[in-house]
Amino acid sequence: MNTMNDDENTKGPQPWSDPALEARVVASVLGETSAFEASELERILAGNPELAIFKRRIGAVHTLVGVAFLPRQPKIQLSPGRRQQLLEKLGARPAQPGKKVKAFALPFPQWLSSDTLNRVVACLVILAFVAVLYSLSLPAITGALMKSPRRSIASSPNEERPQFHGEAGGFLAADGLDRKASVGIGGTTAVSSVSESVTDSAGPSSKPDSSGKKLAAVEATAIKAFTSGWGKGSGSGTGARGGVAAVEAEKQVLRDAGDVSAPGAEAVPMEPAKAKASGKDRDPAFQAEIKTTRQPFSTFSLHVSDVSFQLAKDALAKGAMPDPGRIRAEEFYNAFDYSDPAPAPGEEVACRIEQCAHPFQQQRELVRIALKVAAAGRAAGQPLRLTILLDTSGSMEREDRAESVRRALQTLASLLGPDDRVTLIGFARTPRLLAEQVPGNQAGKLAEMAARTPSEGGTNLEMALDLASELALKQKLPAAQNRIVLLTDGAANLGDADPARLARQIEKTRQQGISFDACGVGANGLNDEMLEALTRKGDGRYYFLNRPEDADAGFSRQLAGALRPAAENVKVQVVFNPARVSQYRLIGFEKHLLKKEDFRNDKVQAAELSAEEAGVAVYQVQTLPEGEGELGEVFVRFRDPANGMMVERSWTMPYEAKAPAFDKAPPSMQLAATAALLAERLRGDSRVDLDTMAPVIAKLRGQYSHQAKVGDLIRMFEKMRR
Amino acid sequence: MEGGLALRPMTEPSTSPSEPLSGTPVAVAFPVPVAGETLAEIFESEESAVLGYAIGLVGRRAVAEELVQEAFLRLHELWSQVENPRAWLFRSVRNLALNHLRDHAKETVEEGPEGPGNENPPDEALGRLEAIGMVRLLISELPPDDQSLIRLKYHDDLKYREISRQTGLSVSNVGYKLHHLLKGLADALRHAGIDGSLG
Repeated sequence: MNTMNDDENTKGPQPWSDPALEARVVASVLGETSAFEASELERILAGNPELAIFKRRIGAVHTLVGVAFLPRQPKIQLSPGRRQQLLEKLGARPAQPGKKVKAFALPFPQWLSSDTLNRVVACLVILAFVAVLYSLSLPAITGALMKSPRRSIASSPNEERPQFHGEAGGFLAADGLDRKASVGIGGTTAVSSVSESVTDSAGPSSKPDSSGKKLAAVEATAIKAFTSGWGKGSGSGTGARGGVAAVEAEKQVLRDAGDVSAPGAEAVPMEPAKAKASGKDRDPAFQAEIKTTRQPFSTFSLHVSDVSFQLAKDALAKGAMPDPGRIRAEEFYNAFDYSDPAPAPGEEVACRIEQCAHPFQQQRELVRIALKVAAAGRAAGQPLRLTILLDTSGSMEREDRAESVRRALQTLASLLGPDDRVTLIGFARTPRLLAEQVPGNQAGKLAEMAARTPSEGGTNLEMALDLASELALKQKLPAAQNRIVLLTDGAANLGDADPARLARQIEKTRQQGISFDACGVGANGLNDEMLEALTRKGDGRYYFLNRPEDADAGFSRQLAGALRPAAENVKVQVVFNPARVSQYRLIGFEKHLLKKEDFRNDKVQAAELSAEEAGVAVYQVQTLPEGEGELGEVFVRFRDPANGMMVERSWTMPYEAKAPAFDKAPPSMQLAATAALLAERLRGDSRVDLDTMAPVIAKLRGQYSHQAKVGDLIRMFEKMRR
Repeated sequence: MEGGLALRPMTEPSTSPSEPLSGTPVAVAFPVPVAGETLAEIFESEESAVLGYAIGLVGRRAVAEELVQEAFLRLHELWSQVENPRAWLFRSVRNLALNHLRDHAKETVEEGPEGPGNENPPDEALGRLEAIGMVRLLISELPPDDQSLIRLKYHDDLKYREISRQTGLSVSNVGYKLHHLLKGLADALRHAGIDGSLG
């Protein structure tokens, strides 16, 4: 068959054939001819029946090949038992690296094959077309193989699962994924050095060295790319420097990733001042873009919070510039509701991808990826085991804070049911058990209890956390949501504690199934870095109540979501297509980056999403107009708390050759871009040109008049512009 | 970007993104062969296509599943010797199916219990599955350069001129090559009993 492109060896060459005419026919079938040429060809075809037959044959093949390349096809699988058996057999095959003769290296990444909705629709049209063709000519097509036995059998009715039409449905692969994920996962938590992470022991493949090779291959490509000048963005003017920057950026990524998974290795910021200093040299605000050829994988824990936005808003309202070290861009653009679509019935997660041209950086686009989990259904019935750690130190006595705490506890109590249990621990110099295992429907009295607790000096969080962990573990119910919630103003003397030890304790408790949330009360003196870092370790939520009146419906929703996650261990992996994206940069999430291989390592914990909550990520990308394929693929993986199953989904990020300009983009894209860019500006990126953005921001007010936070954002913008 | 240059740097990255795909619930059409792939990865990416082809050939789900299982088990045994596992897989499913049809030519009644999941599609669907499977088989047996040409045309939906830019081939050369590739496919399909003329 290898010879079939050689004319001489082709079976049955047509003696009459005129290659030039044939080539014109093929070109017309492939849509390469102008209208004029086409009409001329029609005339020739009319007088040349053999050529007309040739055209039909080519047309038929053209359609078939088109179908074979349809980006997404209905998936059919072996029956589950057989599949499982076979997979075990195949997966257990000992690796024979290097022995196999290289199949062939084609220049196109496999994942380019998936595609946009448009194309799927187009494909359906083609499919329908093919069906028509076949219905017209089936007897001829099926030829010798379509013998009578098949027909007689095929007509036996059995229509229970119409697998050939439409989706195979649901998450057929879920169990396979779980199995797969468990294969080859060693002790992967403590990988911190660059070289180790390159050799990757956690890939899902059974071939231990395969991913190491892959990475090496990616690197080799990159080197080639640099030496050959490929991938050099026209006009970006980076050249070799860009390469070095990319290496640095990647090291940063690996360092940060090491942070996330190396227990206790990370220095939890002691004090704001120190954190700021250490944040300087690893400040990702000016982080270089990452070359896709070097590192096409961008993996992170989808952490959703708005604390950084709130703190910045508070500072600006007071006429102060917020501390750049406290600006976390992802907590800016995740502060808003973009009205992203909820998953379709039966789906667990939906994804919306939007893009627009960067408002002022040349040849850059912004991409907003929003993932939204389904409304709580099954998980809503999950009982709660809450251990509340209430800071009763002197600073909490301030009237507004006491009131905030009272409101927070009231809101909390209103969300609980009779099956829930709450344990309340007050702490200052020493922890005190105030109430134990209070049924949720009686939790209303907790607020009273808290109010009666006298405040003391000192804040010994360490000891309090030990007690909370101990009680939470004792009262842990495997089927429940088990959480510790810290309510504190995080006054400076929290710094008495050894942050590293706190982090270790939280992480240990987390590994035993208990998450750690923090609710900051009042912006003054809040040890934001530390609370943020601790909740990150505890894979919990970090929220913030500045003033008592902020304990509104929004706060209640936030809290309710935090208490009953609809998706746990939510990880996102964006795989960029090096043939289309020369470089990219994730705006924000610097502290939530994961290593590529941790995506499917379910032992590496990640953030939570609540029901109907959208998690948003904003990327800046540089595309290659001359490149090919789509931007890449978005993968999300999470655990469904209702059944403990891991769910994984993916979507294609389409390439939009003409991404809308910033002022023409959909409001949701404009809003996310505005939030992301303002955050960057507040971090000190002076390239962010506020004037360019002004007209769009003015319009946002009207678009989102119902969202108070959008108003806040606009006010912040106005203050910054002055 | 220079013509001709574009093809090379993109060669290796094709290895890396193969693994995220292998768990997705949607089948991906025509995955590119990837050097260093494991058999399990090939199973994940080809299961659907090969099974569809087998069903198209034998017309019965239960039999098709057996053939596919058999083919994968054989590939497992011969792994170190098979150069082009995808083409091998399609080819051997075809051979197994032909053997099966020959051996059971006189049977009209199914031998196994046909429970749920063993449903058999209607004839038109069989013809379609078989034809598409055959096309996959033929393409997977083409030399890599020809495969990439077809991919540029059909997967990436590029015009001759764009293909020319990407590959460094002249526009007329692209037309010439595609012309002969399609013609070759049509002839090979007809030879395989699938009449490419569609009447």
